[in-house]
Order: sequence, then structure tokens, then C-alpha cells
Amino acid sequence: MPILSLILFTPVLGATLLFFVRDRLWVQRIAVAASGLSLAFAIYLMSIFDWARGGFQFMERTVWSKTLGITFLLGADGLGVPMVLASALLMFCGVFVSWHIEDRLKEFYINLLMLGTATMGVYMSLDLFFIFFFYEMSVIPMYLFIAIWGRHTKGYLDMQGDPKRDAVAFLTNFNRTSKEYAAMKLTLYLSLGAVVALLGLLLVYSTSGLHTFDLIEIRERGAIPETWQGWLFWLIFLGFAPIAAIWPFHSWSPVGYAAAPAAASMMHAGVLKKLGHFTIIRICFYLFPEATHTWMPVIAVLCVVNIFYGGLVAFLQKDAKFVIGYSSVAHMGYIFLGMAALNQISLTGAVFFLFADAMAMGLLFALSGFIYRQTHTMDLPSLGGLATKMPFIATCFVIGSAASFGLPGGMNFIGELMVFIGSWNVYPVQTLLAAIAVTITWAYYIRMIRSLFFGEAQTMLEPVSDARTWVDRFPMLILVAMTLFFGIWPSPFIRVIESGVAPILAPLPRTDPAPAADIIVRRHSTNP
Amino acid sequence: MQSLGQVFAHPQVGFPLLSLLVFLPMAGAILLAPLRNEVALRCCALTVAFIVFALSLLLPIFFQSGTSDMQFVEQVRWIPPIGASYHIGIDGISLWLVCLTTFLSFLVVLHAFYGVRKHVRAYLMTLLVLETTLLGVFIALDMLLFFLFWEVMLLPMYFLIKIWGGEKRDTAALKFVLYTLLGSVLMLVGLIVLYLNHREITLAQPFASSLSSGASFDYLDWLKTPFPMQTQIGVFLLLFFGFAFKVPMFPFHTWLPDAHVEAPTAGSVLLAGVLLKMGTYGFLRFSLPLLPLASELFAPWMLALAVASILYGALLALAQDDMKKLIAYSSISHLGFVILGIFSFNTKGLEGSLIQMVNHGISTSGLFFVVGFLYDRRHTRLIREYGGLSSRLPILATLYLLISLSSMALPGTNGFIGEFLILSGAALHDWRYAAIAMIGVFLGAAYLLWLFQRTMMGPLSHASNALLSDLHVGEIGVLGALLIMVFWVGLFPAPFLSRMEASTGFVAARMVSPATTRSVVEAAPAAP
Repeated sequence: MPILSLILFTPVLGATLLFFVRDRLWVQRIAVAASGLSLAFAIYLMSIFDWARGGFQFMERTVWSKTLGITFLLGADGLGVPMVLASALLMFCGVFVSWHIEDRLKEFYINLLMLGTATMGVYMSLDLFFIFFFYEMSVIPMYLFIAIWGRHTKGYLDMQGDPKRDAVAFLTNFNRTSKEYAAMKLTLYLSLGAVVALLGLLLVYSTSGLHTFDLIEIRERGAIPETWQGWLFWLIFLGFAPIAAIWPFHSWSPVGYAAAPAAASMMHAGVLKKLGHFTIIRICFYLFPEATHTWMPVIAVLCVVNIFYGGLVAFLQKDAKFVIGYSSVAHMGYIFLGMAALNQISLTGAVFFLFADAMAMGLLFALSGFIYRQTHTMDLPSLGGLATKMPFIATCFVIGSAASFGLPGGMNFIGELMVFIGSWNVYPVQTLLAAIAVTITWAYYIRMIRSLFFGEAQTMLEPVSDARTWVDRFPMLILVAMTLFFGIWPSPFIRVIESGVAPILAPLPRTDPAPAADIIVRRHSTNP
Repeated sequence: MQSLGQVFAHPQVGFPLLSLLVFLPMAGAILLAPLRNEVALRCCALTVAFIVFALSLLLPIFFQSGTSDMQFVEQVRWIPPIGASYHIGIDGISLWLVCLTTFLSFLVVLHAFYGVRKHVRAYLMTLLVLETTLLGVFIALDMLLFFLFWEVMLLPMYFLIKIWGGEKRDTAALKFVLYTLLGSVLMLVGLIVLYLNHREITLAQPFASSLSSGASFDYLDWLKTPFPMQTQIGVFLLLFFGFAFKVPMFPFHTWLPDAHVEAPTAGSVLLAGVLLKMGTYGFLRFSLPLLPLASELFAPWMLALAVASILYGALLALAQDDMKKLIAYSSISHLGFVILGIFSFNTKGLEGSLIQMVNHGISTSGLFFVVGFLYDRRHTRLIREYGGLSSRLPILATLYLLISLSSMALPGTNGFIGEFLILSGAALHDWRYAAIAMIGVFLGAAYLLWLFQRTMMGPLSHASNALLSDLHVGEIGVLGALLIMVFWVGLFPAPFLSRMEASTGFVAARMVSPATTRSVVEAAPAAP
């Protein structure tokens, strides 16, 4: 059964069907059905993935253009399977989070389903052309989300009547707070990255001497000259660095997420951002192991900047979504640290962190979307005391924040722990700094929770209500459940990810940590 | 020396299809002459255009892929004393350009139902005569015939701009004609030099050629002739002017923005959609195969000019405040890509540039139609007069967005196929040009999205915008037809690419085996 194609094309079918539907209720039903079906297939994929065997499974191959060497090649390995599951899950939850959108719900869902397809396409593709194809395809839906359904930040709304308000001079004025500015910034940053990545991919194609875009073939039979490998590594790294939100290419991210509607931020912060890391592992680690090994120390330094910069700036933000956005930037630093250390535990931890962060970010943006819908502002100074009015949301938010700042019991903790264990031997200074930075993470999350939920209730708020209906509670519950359940019992994911990480690390010199840690890992693997 | 075979129309399709295609529009124009009733005029013209389009669809159906021979050939002696014959035929290079011409002409005549009010009869007659001349250029295999159609095409275009154009139409029309005329006069000199050289070389050869006097304007005969280096260099420069003025390449582009701004919608569509392609077609069909040594010599300069066009066009597009001028500069940028592809001399680049010619015809025509629809409503092309139109004109906004996405080469649209092929061809040839050209891709996304945003997104500005009506059926039909092609070529490019392969392979092969040409030239005695 071509399970990967089923996962990938069910949302497309749903989107096509939605074109012809007018009735709002049927629009919602079809969106739920399409994303739900895709999720069901993704869960099934996770369950039948043979983690003992590893490697690329469920491969599907269709030749798209023989003369150009392009094949529509899908395959799932230990890295891709959890991320596909995360994408499907966030897409499914996103449908419920956007249930109450008034304006053009149908087009919103079409966009969401296409965004989901593009994301899953990147995670499943094993052909360079299609990795790029799906990646570029994911950029424009985000533009539409922000430009059409997004929100302006408070600074913009305060500028009512100011003639410079409207989106005309964004090139010269960096202080814009409109959603159009956010949309353009995100799209142009990501497009610029895509263009650099395209150059890298085309050069891989031409220097490998094989005239194929097939990733596996290039790795096995390609002969990329040594001198080129360094350049190609940097081109692809820099091409995907913007979407991975590495400092200094991160600035599209907080402003983009703040302006985007909740479901879009969920998808983007949850799985699209992770695309950056994923493709760097998928392409750079896989094709240029020596160059990766040479240049990882630079990345290790950059990621610490990410962690501290993201954390400190998050602390200063007045807009809740900006806080979450910057925290996402900071978390990307942890993932890079795990990737930089290049050993089994740290890389497994990094990929597990990708999944964990997807859940956490999804949860936090879903919750902030709900709060925004009730209070119509995300401005922290003017919010407060929501805990009494929305106890369910408050609880979920606290759990989500706790998971995000690495409280044991949440998935992020496992990921962080593995990253620290794995990186300590290789980059002790960076690991120490990253561990200290956890304090900053606690600080800004607790500050946000306090500003949002505790303290005095501001009297200017309209009557707000909690998440009462099943539709509102369902996405939060799923994500909370995922975070807690797999935070306590992570082994199903860990063993899948390990099987995917091992072949990537094989050609690299081993930098495994002390044997004691190996025992922990082995115990995990033998868990039923 | 490679030679091209010919497949005559009679065995291939049973009747002189190409002659019918070329002269039917002219016959239709003559038929329109006695009519007075506007409805009858429009219907009659539409029928003619539709029949021509339907006939042209026979071409790809009966086309034989896998051979670079000229097909549907018809040859009749015309002026034997100087060796000019009525010799027409198409191959993989001209096939899709012919279909593009008939398709766009059909759409333009359809547009005339609501797009033109005064002098309807003259307008329709001009359009049909223009169609004849455009088709003639692409199918002529006799150089004199080619030049005839090339020159005659200027006249209907001049009238189109002069009579139905905007305010400064007189200057624009004159500028267009004089510029292009200068170029074509130089081209004529080049053709005559080649003709004389061909006669000299043929007479000097021990074996007789088909036309015993040695005089021939026939392209296929010229292909067999190894022109000496001196001749090649001189003629390349002369032909360069003819073609470069048409493309238009930087720095010979200054007539284009004016011409586009002042031309009526149909004029811009045919100008951008077909006329500009004649220049690039000229390079591909004549400069490269006939003058391979000179082409190789001048390639670095041509690539540099191509990249200059790309960047210059894109940067200037960013600075425009007139919509049509912006799209005109974007044309300059896009056709710079086509030249980049052509002078990469490999199959990828050539195929990419060919398909991009067709794609640019579709996308830019769509953009000009959209601008035309906006102008019909507000009678202004200034960007600042519009804003937030998507709330009033959602259908226009959606179709406009899709066309923009095609122009900025989003994966899934036709533009991506062409751009990807051109960039891979350029990267295979010399990665530095590809790297700089990539910036053009990014800038393309920037100015197109920004234009869309300024006109369609954000709050509705200007009271007069609130009174506008959305697209009606005729307008939707035109854009819809273009969008069908956008997605067809974008998702299933194989049928289009497969028919081009053999012919572009032939041109590419000619470029890599000038050794054959060289040895013959070196062996020949030095020219007196």
C-alpha cells in the first residue's frame, strides 16, 4: 500500500474538494476528514515502521523526467516518520483551532491543507528537486495566511490616521508593525534562502557527475570533488538557515508568527521551521559528511548565540506571540547544538527535540490563538488575571510552557537532556552555556504566564470565556496528551529516530560520550 | 556536417497545414472588410481566430518527437534567380511558439468583445494581420521570407499603438518602430553577407548543391555551410543588433517600457507574449546553429548582458509606480533568463529557455490582461491609486495572485519549470552566472508580491475603489484559459519538453562540434 502517497495526497484531495463546496458546515467537515485521514495514515505509518531494520522504508518511485534525472521519490526513515506524524497532527489540530474564522474559512482550509502537503512532502522526499519543490511550495501559503487572515500588532493599530501607516515603504522603514510587513518579510527572507539553496542543489547535481537528483544515488555513487564539498555545504546550510531561524537569519520568525493566524503559526513554528534542520541533516549530513564535520564548530557557536539572543529578547517582549516566537528561535539553538555534536545521542536528542518542540509550539500558539479570539489583544501589559476566567486554557498553557522550558515530564526535557549528554564531550563550553540559558527560558515563560493569567484582571477586557466546546478543547487536549505521555514514555519515538540517525552518522568519526550514557540509551531501546 | 531532414506536409498531415495557418488570419481580415455590424465583426473575427487556434492544435498532435527534422514542410519556388523559395516548416523549437501565437491571438480577439470601443473593424483587422505576420516569422525557413515577415510585423503593431494607445502613443509608437527598424536593417545586412558568403563557398566546393547557381536564401542550405570565422563574427554582431533590440536586451531596452505603457491591452499582450520572443527565437534558430564559432566567442559577453538584463530589469521594476511599466521591466528581466539559458549551450539551458519563452508569453500576458481590466475600471495605472482591492474584487485578486505566482516561478506553475531548467543549464555551464541570476529570481518574487500587496491587500483605499465591480465572464474566461496552461505546463511538462528535445539537442550538438566546422574552415584557403 503506497502509504506515503496516501499521507501526502489526501490533503490535496481535500483541498480540491473544498473548491466546490459552499456550505460552511461541509467545508469544516471535509477539512476535518482530509486532515484526519492523513493523520490516521501517519499514525499507521508510525506503527508499522520497522525500527529494528531502519533505513528508508515504504519507498515509492515514479520517474518524472528521465532526461533531467528527476524522480518523484518518497521514502520514510527514522528521521522523517516522526516529523510526518507531527505535521499531520498539527494540521489536524489546526483545523479545529481555526474553526471559528468568519472570513473565507474555505480558502483558509485550502491553504492549510496545501501547507500541510508541502511540509510533509519535504519530509518524505528523497529527490533533491522535490525537496526544493515542496519547500518553495510552502512559502506562499504562509504569505497568504498573514496577508489575508493575519493581525496587525498593537503598535500598528495605534497608528490610526498616520499617513505612513499603510504598507508602502517597507523597504526603507524597519519599524513597521503591519501584517503586510510581516508577510513580506517572511516571504522574502524564505525566498532568498530558497534561491541560495537552489544554487547549492543545482551545483550538487552538476558536480556529482551523475545527472540525477536522487539523493540516495548521489550519496552512494556520486563523486563530488573535495574542494566543492565545503562550498556546497555552506550554500545549502545558508539556504536553509533562514527557515531554521539561525541567528542572524531569524528575524522574520517572531514578527511572522505574531502576525499570522493561530493555525498558521502552529504549522509554521511546529513543523516548517524544523524543515530547516531536517533538510540540513538530510542533505548536508548525508552527502557531505567531511565538510559537516569540519564546519560544525562554527555552527556550535552560532547556536549558542541563538539560545541567548532568543532568550534575552523574548524576555523583553510585550506581545505574547512575540515571546513565543523568540522562544522558538532560542529552541532552534538547542537543536543545532545537538546536530553540531554529531554523535548518536545528541542527534537523536536533537531530532526528538524537533518533534517535542512541534508539539509544544503547536500547543502554545493554539492557546494564544484562543486567547486572542477572546480578548482581541496579545499585548501583555493590558492582559491579566485570565486564570479565573479561563481555567482550562490556563492549565494547558502552564503545561505547554512547562514542557517548553524543559520541565521533566515533558518531551522537550528528554530532548534537551539527550542533547546535553551527547554534546558535553564535544562542546563542553557551549553545553554549559546552553544549560545556564535554561534559566532564561524559565524566566520569560513564567513572566508571560504571570502577565497573562495572574495578577489583576484588567477591567477593559470584554467578557471572556473559557474553552467550553469540544471543538475548542480537542486540539489542546491532544497536544497536551502527546507532550505528557511521550514525555514520560519516549521510547517509541526514540527507537524510531535512532534507527534513522545511525546510517547518517556512520561515515562520520565517532564522538560518542562515556559508556554510562550508552547504558541509558540501551535500556530505552529494550523497553517494550 | 550535420544536416536536417524534412518531412513534408502532405505525407504528414495530408494538407498544407502551415500555409493555411499563416494565411487564414489575413483572409479573415479581408473578410471583415465589408462588414459593418459590430457584433458580426466580433463573431466573425472570433471564429477565424478559433479556427486558426484549433488548426494549430493539430501541430503538436501530429508532431513526431525524437527527430530534429523540419516537419509540415512546404516548399514552392518563389524567386529562383536569387534562390528565394517559399519554404516553411516547424521543428521542436518553433512548434510551441506557433501554438503560443495562435493561443494568444485567440484570447486577444476574445478580449476585443469588451476591450475595444472605437474603430472595432480596423482593430480586428489589424489583430488578424498581425497574427499572420507573427506566425510567418516562426515558420519561415527561407531567410528572405523570414525577413519579410519580420519587417511587415512592424506595421500592424505600429497602428495598434498609434490608434488605440494611451496619451503619449505617438512617441511610443514611433520609438518602437525606429528602434526595431534599425535593428532589422542591420540584420538584413547580416543576412545578405551570409547569402553572399554561402554562394561563394558553395561555388567553391567541388560537388554541386541542390540550387546549381549556388545562390540560396534557404536556412537548411545555410546550415550545411561552414562559414569562416571572420564572416561569423561580423554577421553575429549584425544579427545581434537585430535580435537584441527585439528581446530587448540591456542596454537596448528603452523602447519597451514606453511601448507597453502606451499600447492597448491587446497590443501589450501580443507585444510581450509573442514579439519579444522573436528576438530570442532569432538567437536560438539563427545565431547559434549558423554561427557556432562566433556564438562561442561572444558567449561570455552575451551571458554578462543577460545577467545585466536580469538584475537591471528587476531592480527597476522595484522602483516603478506605473503598473504596466513595472511589468515591462519584469519582461526585460525574464527574457534575460532566456538569453542566459540559450548561451549556456547545453540541452537543459536550451530547453529551459524555450519553455520559458512560452511560459513568459502566458504569464506576462496574464499580468497585462489584469492591468488592462483594472485600467478599464479606474482609467489609471498608478499603483498608489489602488489598494486593498481584494475585498471588493476577490475573483480578480485570486486570478491575479495565481498569475503572479506563475511569473515568480512558484513550484507547480509553468514558470518554475523554465526557471529551474535554465538555472541548471547555466550552473552546468558556469556556476557564477547562475549564482548572480538567482538574485533575479529573488527580486522577481519581491517586486511581484509587493505589487500584489500594494494593489490588492491591506485596507481599501480611495473612495472610487469602493465602486468597482468584479470580473465578468469574458474576463474570467481569458484569465482562466491562461491559468489552465500555467498549471498544465507546471505539473505535466513532459509532453511539452519531449517535443523540444530533439531540436534543442541538435542545436546543442552543433555547438559542441564546431571541430567539424573548424577543420573545414582551416582546410579552406584564406579568404581574399
